[in-house]
Amino acid sequence: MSEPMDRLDDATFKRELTGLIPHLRAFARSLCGDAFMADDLAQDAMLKAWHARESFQAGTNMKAWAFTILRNVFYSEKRRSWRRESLDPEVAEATLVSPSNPGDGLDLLALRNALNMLPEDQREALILVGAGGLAYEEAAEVCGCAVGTIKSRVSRARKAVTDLLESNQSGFSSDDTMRAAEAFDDIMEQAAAISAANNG
Amino acid sequence: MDEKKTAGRKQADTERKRRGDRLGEQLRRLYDDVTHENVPDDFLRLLEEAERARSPDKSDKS
Repeated sequence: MSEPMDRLDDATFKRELTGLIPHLRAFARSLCGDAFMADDLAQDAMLKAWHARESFQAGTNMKAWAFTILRNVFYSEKRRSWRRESLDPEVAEATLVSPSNPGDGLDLLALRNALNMLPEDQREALILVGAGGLAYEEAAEVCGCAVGTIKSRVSRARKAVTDLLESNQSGFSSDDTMRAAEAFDDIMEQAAAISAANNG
Repeated sequence: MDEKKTAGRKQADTERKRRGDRLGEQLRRLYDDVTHENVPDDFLRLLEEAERARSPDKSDKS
């Protein structure tokens, strides 16, 4: 560890960064809740990562490193414009419901709604660890906090989401009929809201 | 009666674990829905541009 920092050559760095773009987009979308703004954020983070490539140490986790940059951009600069107050139903439908399997879409829509109700710190911890595949230690680095803090955020987030899905959506009950019906009601409410907005 | 309690708790634990697994699976699906999308061309174009802007001469320190 006494050696100077190992650096990747530009071509290797670029190749690895390119491979991470899908993850930057996914993490950005979980922060923004809006696909278009998320891509804007992800592009900004990607370019910042490119320009900061000399500070990346070869052999360490580039995903965690790039996520840290993305998160800093999100919280420092354009947070207000990137984070909408609530999820735009039209966007939610366009980005979350997979047409090939509508049943899946309803489930995931309920999950997305539940995630949106979490405090931001819990939501990002749960996404990083539960979906992004980061170790607790890496997530702690990304969020700039202690490992124990991440662990407790993840555990509180899991509990809150599970409770929300059970109480509001019956999301994880074994009663599939009930779940579909409630999710359907949810969609209908959103459809009504959209048409009201269009007519207004 | 103690046995009954233990069994009940075991069942609750199993149920909790099942829901936890399901939550994890759905979280990953939500995330992978995005990672499986095609990356918009903008990303690669911007990265190419950034690389080109730099490569002609490495005049970092003038």
